[in-house]
Amino acid sequence: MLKQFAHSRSTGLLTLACKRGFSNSITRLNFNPLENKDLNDEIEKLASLRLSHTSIPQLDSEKETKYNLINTFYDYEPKTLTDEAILPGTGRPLPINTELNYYAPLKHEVKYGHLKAELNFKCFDHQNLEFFTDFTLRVAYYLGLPATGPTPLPNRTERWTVNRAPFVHAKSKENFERTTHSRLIRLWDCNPEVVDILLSFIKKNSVWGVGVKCHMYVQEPLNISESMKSIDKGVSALTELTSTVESLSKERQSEVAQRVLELLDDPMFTRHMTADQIKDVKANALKG
Amino acid sequence: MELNKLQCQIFKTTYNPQQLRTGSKILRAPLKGQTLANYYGPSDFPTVSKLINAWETEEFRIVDEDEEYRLERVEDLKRRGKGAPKKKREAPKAKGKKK
Amino acid sequence: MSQIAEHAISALKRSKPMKRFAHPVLAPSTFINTRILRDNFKRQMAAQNEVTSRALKFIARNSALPQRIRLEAQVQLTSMPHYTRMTQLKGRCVDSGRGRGINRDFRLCRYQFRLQALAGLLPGVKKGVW
Repeated sequence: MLKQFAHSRSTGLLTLACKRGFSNSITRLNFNPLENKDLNDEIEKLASLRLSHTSIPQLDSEKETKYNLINTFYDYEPKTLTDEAILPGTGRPLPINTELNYYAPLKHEVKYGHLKAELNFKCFDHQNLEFFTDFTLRVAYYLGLPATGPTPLPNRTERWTVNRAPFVHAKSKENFERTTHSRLIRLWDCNPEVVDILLSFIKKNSVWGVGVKCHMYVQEPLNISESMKSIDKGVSALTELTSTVESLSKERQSEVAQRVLELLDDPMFTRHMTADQIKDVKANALKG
Repeated sequence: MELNKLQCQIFKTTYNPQQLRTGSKILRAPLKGQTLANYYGPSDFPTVSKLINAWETEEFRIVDEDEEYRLERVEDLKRRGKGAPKKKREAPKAKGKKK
Repeated sequence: MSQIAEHAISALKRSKPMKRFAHPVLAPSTFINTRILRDNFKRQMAAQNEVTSRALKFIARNSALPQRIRLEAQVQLTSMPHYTRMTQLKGRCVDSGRGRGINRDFRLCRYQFRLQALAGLLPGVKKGVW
């Protein structure tokens, strides 16, 4: 915005059309201040100008030959073609990775079959979607991630029927629909950090109107208890099962639960109870 | 019964043999106040006139085409004598009592 | 140029809370009419008081708690002002303020929906042919 303003400083008027604040178009107009002159006078002047040029002006021969030079291009027949420039080392005219863009994306083989991430792409049109999934597969290949897909997932069609006119009981209706296309790409046998790199890269180069959702899966070894020992408090957290579970349970930490305890402390409620009852109630209130 | 109790202890689910109504679903339900409050969008989203007020300086004028069109139309109507009626200066005369 | 920008940004941020209601709230930036303002106010209030009303409701519905407390909670809950209740909210058309025939996906009434869909302002929505 700022830049455009800076450019248009010298030229004058700027038009800004905003509709609903979402789209705007900026066009530039040339501004000619109208001066108060006698119109009849002006017209007469124009008429006299026309009268002075009775004959059509002729081109001088020098210019004519110059302009006719362009005709020489029409009967041009090349006798020899230049050789294709071959890049040293590749034996091809294009770099190999550029040339690969003309073919389907390469994929690494899935070796161990550990599913690490599922990328879900959604879009209202399939062109952008297909382009973007293709791009993601290429990114995955160059990052060394084994990927499979894109698997087409079922399309979701939403339909709405509305009256054509604002009147309620109007007979005539109109149908609208919206199809959400989706594709699935699975990433296998990889480190979550690499998946993060892939995600940040495709986010940086994202295509308009394509939504991406990623489910990441982490596998833990069976002897998790041993690895927990190295962490501080890990052992105690493991041995005291109740404390871990309590810290994990969401209900005690939720805002509403906090507010319940606060309220039960309030004189509004405590006046109905004896001291013992208060303790009892507070201990048991959230057990349900 | 015992098994049920133990199971509840281990998985930290509520042991509720009489199936009393504890209202826990009210506790557990997600809070939806924020989404409801955001129904009309942010209150500080700039309108066209606000943008113009903010950006207009002496050196460049910003034209809101819709507004310009409206003003033009109003002028046009006035010229044709179809504009809005002028405000009455005096209070309208009190009507006579109903007979 | 930066001065102008600063001035512009500060001008954009200025918005005063409305004093028309019991508690001041900001007016929405969409289409405005009385009913939208009223509904917006209720929405803001409902969101603010959600935790309290939920907690009171929990105490009132928890049959493990003493009867008197439950009754007290229920009384408190009913004595809260009407504008803090979720049931008072009404979906209204964001662009015309209509209260009936609202499409929830787009928050528009049926006629606005049709106009905007035909103008291509709603992403992905086309004339249905099947």
